[in-house]
Amino acid sequence: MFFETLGVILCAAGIVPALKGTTSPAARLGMFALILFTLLLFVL
Amino acid sequence: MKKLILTIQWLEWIRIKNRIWMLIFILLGFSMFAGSCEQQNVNFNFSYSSSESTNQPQPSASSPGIIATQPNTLSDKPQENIYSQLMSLLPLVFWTFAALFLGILVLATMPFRGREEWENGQFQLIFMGKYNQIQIQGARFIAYFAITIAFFMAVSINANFLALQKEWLTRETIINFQVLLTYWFFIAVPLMISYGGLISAINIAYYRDGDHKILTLLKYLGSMGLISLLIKAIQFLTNKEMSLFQPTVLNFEVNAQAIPIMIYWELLFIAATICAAFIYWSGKILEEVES
Repeated sequence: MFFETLGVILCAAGIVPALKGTTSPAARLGMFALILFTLLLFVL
Repeated sequence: MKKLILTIQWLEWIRIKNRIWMLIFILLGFSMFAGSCEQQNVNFNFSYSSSESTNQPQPSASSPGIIATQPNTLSDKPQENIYSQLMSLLPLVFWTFAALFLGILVLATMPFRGREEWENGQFQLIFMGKYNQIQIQGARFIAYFAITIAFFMAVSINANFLALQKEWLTRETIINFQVLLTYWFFIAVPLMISYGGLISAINIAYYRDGDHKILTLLKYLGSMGLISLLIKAIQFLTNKEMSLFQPTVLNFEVNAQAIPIMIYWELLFIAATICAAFIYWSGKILEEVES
């Protein structure tokens, strides 16, 4: 449970910088894919 | 396109010349240590034969410490010596995998461009001509892949020739081992290079707003998550019932027993598709950033 919570907190903390850090939609998509992979790493 | 590939090759070779020198030093170190494997082999056999085995030929009195042994082939050895023969292969295997590991560490960093290198704007100048960023990313991929092929082939073919020359393994086993290494090379290395290009493009897209430590951490963790997912996908796809094409079987002769290892050709096509998608994606990101 600890790792799942840690993963969710890390991913939630990355969403705003990932959205505001660039103007490129493709780069945002890539960053969100990485956030999703991070979440899967902690959850699975 | 040929002009673009040659231009990118030239620019990239200038940019990563320090890493190419590191690869050359790794190759030199590998040649030096792999070449010294013979001496370790002789010492090992000598101590083994003098302490335990009675049917091994003893070194002659006229040349102490120099081998006077029979040909060192698997078929000529009695059963109890196969363990010592496999042990004698360990130095060569160790130095080969050490060279490949260090080389891959260097090669994996090649696609990454720092902020200063991006601000130098060499690729932006090419982009202002008739080429788009997807073509530029493709040409960069070819440049890195050419360097990687040269390094990998130099290490693996040299190691296999060394093992063949010293008759440590049978010719068929060495050819099968080379085929297996090449198969995994063509699956893993294009993925590694194109994924590096994609992450580098994402980094460039986020350069304007400064560095975010949380995003850097998420990039590392996300890469680890992608690798673990890929391993699970490979385990799923290598199920016999899932394979579309007939898998090729390679037989490795170890300890007088044939160990079959399957080669699944679907993985090559899937890796090539993912690699092309990564190249397209990174080109798309850079087009949006530069426009």
